[in-house]
Amino acid sequence: MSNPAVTKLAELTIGSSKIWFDDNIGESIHFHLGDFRLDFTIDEFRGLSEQLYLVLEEMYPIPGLDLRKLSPNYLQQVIEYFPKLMKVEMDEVFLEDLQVSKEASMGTPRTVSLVHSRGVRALRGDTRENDKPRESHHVNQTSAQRLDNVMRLIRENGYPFDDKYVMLFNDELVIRDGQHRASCLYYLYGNIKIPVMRFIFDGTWWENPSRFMILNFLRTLKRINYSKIRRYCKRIYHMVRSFWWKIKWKLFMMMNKKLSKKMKEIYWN
Amino acid sequence: MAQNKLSDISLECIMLLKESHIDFLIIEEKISKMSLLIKSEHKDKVKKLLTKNKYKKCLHPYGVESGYQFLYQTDKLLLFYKQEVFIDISFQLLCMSHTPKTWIPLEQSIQQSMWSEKKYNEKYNCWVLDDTNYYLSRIVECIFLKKDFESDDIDFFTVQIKILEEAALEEKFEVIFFRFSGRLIQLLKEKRYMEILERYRTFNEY
Repeated sequence: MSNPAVTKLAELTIGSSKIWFDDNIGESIHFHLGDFRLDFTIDEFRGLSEQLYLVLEEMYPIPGLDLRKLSPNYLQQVIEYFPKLMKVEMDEVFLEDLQVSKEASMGTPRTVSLVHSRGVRALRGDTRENDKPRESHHVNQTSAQRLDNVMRLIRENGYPFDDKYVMLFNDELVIRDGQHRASCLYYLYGNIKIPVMRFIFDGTWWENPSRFMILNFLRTLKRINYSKIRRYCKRIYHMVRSFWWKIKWKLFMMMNKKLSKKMKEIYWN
Repeated sequence: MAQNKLSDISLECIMLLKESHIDFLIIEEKISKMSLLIKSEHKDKVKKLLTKNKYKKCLHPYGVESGYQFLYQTDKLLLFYKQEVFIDISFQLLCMSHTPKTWIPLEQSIQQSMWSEKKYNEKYNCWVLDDTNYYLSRIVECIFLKKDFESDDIDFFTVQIKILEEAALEEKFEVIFFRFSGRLIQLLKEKRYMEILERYRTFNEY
């Protein structure tokens, strides 16, 4: 039996190898590479993290780049494109000029203005989109919790806090990291100008969503691969199974009203 | 085991299990629910026995149909009812993981100790969970499942405070809470129940 208080901190697949870190409260932090495991104390883990920063700084001596100004979760996502990174610049933009990526119908990507982003809409009371389950890259936090935390940090510390800026690529206005911060700032202060960090790449390795949904959908079809199909099939299977269980419960509750009332008292009081 | 009067249905169920030579322990008995621990090898036998004796099987609020998963090949929870009395059956002593809706079994040594240290209840003529393991199961339930110490839990822990002196309990805490176990015992002794969850969550001395 493992420690019940385990939190997965980060996970990555390189080729066929799965790598992950998990925090086992009271025990140690585990690093897993397949069947191989290393145990760290918290201090050793922090020491490892610092060493990795030093290694990356040696590997990528890019003008203006301070790795500690990037959120570690985002650094993990963008690090593979660093060979194309030429420099990092600071800039200022108005919040209403910023755009955010979102998933439209059928999973196709599109961009919308920050004003219409799910973060801003959630802060204004429309939480439908923000409450939907999505893969947040923040550990053990839903989108709603993340938004609440960021709002609290901005109220207490202002922006930028902890030297972390909203991030854009080249001369574009699509937020690459910092959507929650931008949403909170817009909600609190309106259309102010804020400092942002621009990563200037040699060429573009990313694809911006088109204004036209059909083009985005066609692009998605071009990129279909087996693992994506498997993921969607698994998602559909889980949705159908979850729906079937909900029906079973509803039928049970309807046909056994007294019993289900008793069950609620015992198990969900 | 919590000292409550067993309902007639619970007594009937105990009688049936004994007659069929099924190994079981009573974990807990409340007015409308009896929690049993049954040996895994008797799983099919107990399902047939209860169904044959007009106990109806129903969906378990913490079972697979409620979206819970059971890791490490743990047997799923079963729930039967008859005349509005629930018989809640588990085959290992389970703990809710930090991973949402995931059950894992407690350490093997604890599973074995439940059967080796069981105590006999003279009044109902059956085996019940011993005090140490029952205390442990209540702590695990408060910290991992309910994530709260309710008033009846606090009353129970306060009454049973002397059990914290037992070395056996400390050993069992250590395989679940590791380096937090000493701190946990101290907080329980000082009756600082409301601090336990936050202290556990933010514990970093490891």
